[in-house]
Amino acid sequence: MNGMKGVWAWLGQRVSGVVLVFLLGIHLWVLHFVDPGAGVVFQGVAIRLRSVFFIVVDLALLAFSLYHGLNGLRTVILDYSISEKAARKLTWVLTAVGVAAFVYGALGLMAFLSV
Amino acid sequence: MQKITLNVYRFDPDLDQEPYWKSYELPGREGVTVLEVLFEVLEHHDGSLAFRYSCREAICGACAMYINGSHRLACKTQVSHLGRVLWVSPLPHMRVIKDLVVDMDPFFEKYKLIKPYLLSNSKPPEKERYQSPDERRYIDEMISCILCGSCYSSCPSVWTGEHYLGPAALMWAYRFTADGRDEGDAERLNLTAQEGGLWRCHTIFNCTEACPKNINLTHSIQQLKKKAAARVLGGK
Amino acid sequence: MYRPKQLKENADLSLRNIPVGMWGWILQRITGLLLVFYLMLHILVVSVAMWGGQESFDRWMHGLHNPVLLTLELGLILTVIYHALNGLRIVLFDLGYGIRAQRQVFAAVMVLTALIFGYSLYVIVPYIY
Ligand code: HEM
Repeated sequence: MNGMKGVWAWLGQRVSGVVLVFLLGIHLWVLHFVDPGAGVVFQGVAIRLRSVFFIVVDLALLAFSLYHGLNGLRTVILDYSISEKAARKLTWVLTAVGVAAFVYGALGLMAFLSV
Repeated sequence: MQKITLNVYRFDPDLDQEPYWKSYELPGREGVTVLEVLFEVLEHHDGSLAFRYSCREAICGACAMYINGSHRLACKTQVSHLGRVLWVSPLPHMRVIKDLVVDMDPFFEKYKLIKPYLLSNSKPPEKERYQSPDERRYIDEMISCILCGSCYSSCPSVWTGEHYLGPAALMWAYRFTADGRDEGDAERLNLTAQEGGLWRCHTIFNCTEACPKNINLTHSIQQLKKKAAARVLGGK
Repeated sequence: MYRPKQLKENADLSLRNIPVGMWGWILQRITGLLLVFYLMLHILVVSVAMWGGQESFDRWMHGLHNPVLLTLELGLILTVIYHALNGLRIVLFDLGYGIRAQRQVFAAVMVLTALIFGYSLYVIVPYIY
């Protein structure tokens, strides 16, 4: 018996979901509601990312949405009675995908800081 | 009284390539139940129709079927509540043995797995293991479960999760952890709070909708999740 | 003996018989998976600034700024609103609230989704067409 392990994935999904309401709320509000006609341009993003607040919000949004999304994908796949061994492999693959996507996405954001 | 049209799912794996619907025109009668309509067929039209029943008063759980789009107990379902046309088929998503009889073995195997009896490791007290009327009232709803399998048949997590315990077994696991006389919390949570167990429940509520005894299984399963989470967060 | 046809026949997957709680779950699943797909696309698109700098980023953004994609983006906003509100509904159940009123809670989610999406249309649509 591997002692109630599933609790963490379940709790993590709830906590990250609630955190995402705020992060995604800020993100969508700033990009689509404050000045809907402006469109997204490099300068605008670069200016925003000069504030520590937005760097933190954007990086947190990246991390939390990747965790929540891939953990959710794992939930969906686990529903199809895969073996315990396959489930362990799946967890590793999704973790690797998540970490790689976070690093790549964070580097992508840093490109806006170079000006 | 008006006639009743019964459409019933027929399938005999030894004879039929495929299942088919068979229609019967039967005399109606005030107060007639779906089970009695099935008896009418059995006695006067086709003695080969197979279905399970026993108590005829909604307490044994044998006659759970899928009737006019819902899980129901044939014995307590009034035909007059459904109109004159009946569609009766076996519990969906379960292996059909013959006609309305399905394979209940996986359901009961999983029920046994959660140890559906009081567990104790302490010495019995002088008189009795006491349960207060309030404690008893708390489990009243849950112990009205008659293990008919309706919830199990209705649950999407069961459809795809071969080893998923299913609503009834999880509800019973909570029923015992919620019993003051039981000392099996750790054991039962270890059995149920697994990746393939409790966490495959996605609060879909199909079980609660399907239950012919109106038990809110989702409520019990949610309580069990909370118990498991509290235990892990509490460092046990 | 396993007979796929037999299972299908007694599976009852007719839409008419799907209760509200199951609709909630099906939609949560579809929207969640859509969002994962979109997130990956989103990361890729934003990363063009890393490869081609300001000029490249602005060219891409300009190219994506057309009525068809902006309409799809409205769909994305609807997807997020529903998934977030229904997610909160599930968290509510997990905390132990509203379980015995799940139909009403789901109705509330749908109404709120409609209201917030309506407001989004009101703000954004004039700038699209
Ligand atoms: C905005 C706030 C969000 C909230 C409150 C939220 C909440 C939730 C909750 C509570 C679940 C669990 C559902 C269940 O156990 O049945 C869930 C599932 C899921 N979420 Fe989110 N979520 C949010 C945003 C996102 C985003 C941005 C993505 C994509 C990256 C996403 C992808 C998923 C996926 C794939 C699932 C699994 C679906 C399933 O199990 O059926 N969610 N979400």
